[in-house]
Amino acid sequence: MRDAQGHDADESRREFLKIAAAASALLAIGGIASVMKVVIFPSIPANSLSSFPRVKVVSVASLATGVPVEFSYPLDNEPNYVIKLGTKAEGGVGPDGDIVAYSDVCQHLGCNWGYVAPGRSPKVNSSYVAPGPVGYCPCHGSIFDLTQSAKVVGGPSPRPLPQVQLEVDSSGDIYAVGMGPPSIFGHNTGSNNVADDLQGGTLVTSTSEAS
Amino acid sequence: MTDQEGEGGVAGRVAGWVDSRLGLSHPVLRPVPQYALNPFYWLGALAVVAFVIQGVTGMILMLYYIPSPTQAYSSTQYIFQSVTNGRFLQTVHLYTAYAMIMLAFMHMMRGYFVSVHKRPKEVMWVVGMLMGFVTLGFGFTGYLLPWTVVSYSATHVGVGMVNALPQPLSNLLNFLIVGSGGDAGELLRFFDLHVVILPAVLLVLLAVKMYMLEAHGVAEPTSGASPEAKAKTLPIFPDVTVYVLELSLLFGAGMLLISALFPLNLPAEYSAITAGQATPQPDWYFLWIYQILKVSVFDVGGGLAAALSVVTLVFVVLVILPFIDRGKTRAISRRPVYVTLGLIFVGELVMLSYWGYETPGATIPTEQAALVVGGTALLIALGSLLAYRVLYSRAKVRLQTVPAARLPRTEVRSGLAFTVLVAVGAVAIGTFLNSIVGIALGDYSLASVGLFVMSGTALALDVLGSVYLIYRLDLRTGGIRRKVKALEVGWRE
Amino acid sequence: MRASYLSIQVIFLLALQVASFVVLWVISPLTQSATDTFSLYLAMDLVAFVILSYVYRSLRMSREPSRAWLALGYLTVVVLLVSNLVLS
Repeated sequence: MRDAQGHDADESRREFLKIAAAASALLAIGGIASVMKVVIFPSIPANSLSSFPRVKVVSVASLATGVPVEFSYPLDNEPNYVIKLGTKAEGGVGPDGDIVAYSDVCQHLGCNWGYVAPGRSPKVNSSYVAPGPVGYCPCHGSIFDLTQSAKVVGGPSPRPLPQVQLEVDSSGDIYAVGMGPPSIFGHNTGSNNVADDLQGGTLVTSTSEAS
Repeated sequence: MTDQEGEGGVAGRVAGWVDSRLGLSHPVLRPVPQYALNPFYWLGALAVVAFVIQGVTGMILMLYYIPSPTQAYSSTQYIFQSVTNGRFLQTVHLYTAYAMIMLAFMHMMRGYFVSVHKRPKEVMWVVGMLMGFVTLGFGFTGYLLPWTVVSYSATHVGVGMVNALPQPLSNLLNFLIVGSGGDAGELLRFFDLHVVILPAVLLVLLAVKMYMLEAHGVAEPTSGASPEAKAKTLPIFPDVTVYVLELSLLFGAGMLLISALFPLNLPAEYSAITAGQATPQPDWYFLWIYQILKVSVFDVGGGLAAALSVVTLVFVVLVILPFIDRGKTRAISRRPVYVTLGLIFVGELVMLSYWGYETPGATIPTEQAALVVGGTALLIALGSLLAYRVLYSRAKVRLQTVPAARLPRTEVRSGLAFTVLVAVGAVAIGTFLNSIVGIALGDYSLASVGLFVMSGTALALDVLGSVYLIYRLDLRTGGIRRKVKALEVGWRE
Repeated sequence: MRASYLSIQVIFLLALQVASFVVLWVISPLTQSATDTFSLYLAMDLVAFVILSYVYRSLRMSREPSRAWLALGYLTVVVLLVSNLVLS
């Protein structure tokens, strides 16, 4: 578009307009890009409660030895197991001190582990025989000793399972009142800050029953 | 890698690289003549832009919405209250839906008035009408999803009508819409239709229509385009793309403005009790159908089926329009009858929609309906024909200085006579129809039969009088033959 | 002359766009009024771009940009600014 006569005013005006148009387009694109901010914000508001709810789980009488019962705590999308182990355990409640509860989410990569009674083998690995009540994760074989606060006794899990703190009241009802470290998998995984367990979902209310 | 601009070194090279990789300036789509840089040519494109906005906002909403009767409302409430900008997204989604329907309608009417449906583009019109039905389907299915009082009630009236349709259609629609029966099945079907099935169908139809558009090119102006005008084209990239982008951004800005000014409020949740206290009303684009259904002549036994037949007839006529309107002329000045019919159609839709909105749940007496519908048609017809006389007869008489439009007294008298005739005719039609219903129900009393005979006679006389009046008016304005040609019977051209 | 009027308009539009761009990236659309401001400034950014693009396109085709369309564009900008004041 070079004019042989070289009309300078016109040409510099054209250049100016070209640059202005390009700048305008970039600003418009940048403006549209900022729309990402509208949708990328965390949608679930942080829970302002900083304390764990007190939730009834089951009654002592309804628990059979070696039969795990699933319940949600402290958020309604976090699964846990409460089990009457049959042997005294660390942190165990109930008349025999053998009722414990742990997060059902393995600390390795987030699979759901299963309970294996002493002397039995998990379905996925018939060559392993549990010496005591353990949790066995079917994904990569992490083994948690449920009598010792879910200490890792085999497999790749780097941390024990978070233990649910239980209380039994005078009428034989078991309540979940807190979680021990580490934090539940997916809640700032690897931190020892149990307050992270309260973020990212809806807290279970105090009137919920075991599922 | 030729960059015509020769713009500064780096920018030019980057632009050249992008162009050579993406093939942007390679002419895949045919260039567009310059007269097409006019918003009316791109109403369909704007409808597609609206559809894209619906897709984007819909996908985000879909992440939070749960299509089950127990959770539909609470998940929608969650979007409104707890999702950051959820209410804004929902507002944009609804208003853009309305815009899409309105744009599709404007696109159709503009196409009708500039005769794009004539040979060889008849199939484009039919495909376009199908896309219009899909768009209405989007509105219908989407309306139920929040599970509010208004949405549930209105949808159930609609679904109930499906059972009144003739048999193979009724079964098919029942299968598509209601599924296994019960609320859960229906909501799931509506959700699947709204989110997957209808979008897929729309995209396929759009692809077909775009292909035909490429084959035929954009519509010429109705007065025809000279070869030079047709040769002055612009490449799709960058000129036409930038133009369409401008229109789309203006549309987007408009939607943002409206959504900011009128944020939505979620109505109450559906429950049997709350539903019993509110009169169901469909969304605005179905109000005209609602109004037709409310006319009292359809209150009898097979009335609903009859009313639906009327509505279906309207849709069928719209779809097969290119095979009814076969005249070759596209100029608006030479299609007075069809243009007037188009204006009447639009006017009736608007009038019926507003009337339907103002009279929820009320039954409309047949005479009143006939009077209002007929009256609207008459007013529009008179206005249109008057405009034709003023605009186009003046254009034909170049050398005479025509004074400002002042109707001669005889024509005023004829106009008044015509008005009286049509008013009488409307009452006569209404009474006649009602008397037919009476006789069909077996009432052979003197009053009933007498009414039938009298209203029938009045109607016949009225029609004859109107025809005679039109004939005389025609004679005065010069040449029945010209008027007959304007009716575009078609086979003489 | 026309040229200088054009330059003034271009500078004005670019300034509008820069202001909108800054607002859009700084604001956090967490409340209803913040979202309203966000959407109105985004609309203003887009409308300013459209006006500039129209001017550029017209001049490229050697045509004067029509005053009617320009006036409509600026009216839209005014409407957006006023709405911003009304809503906040």
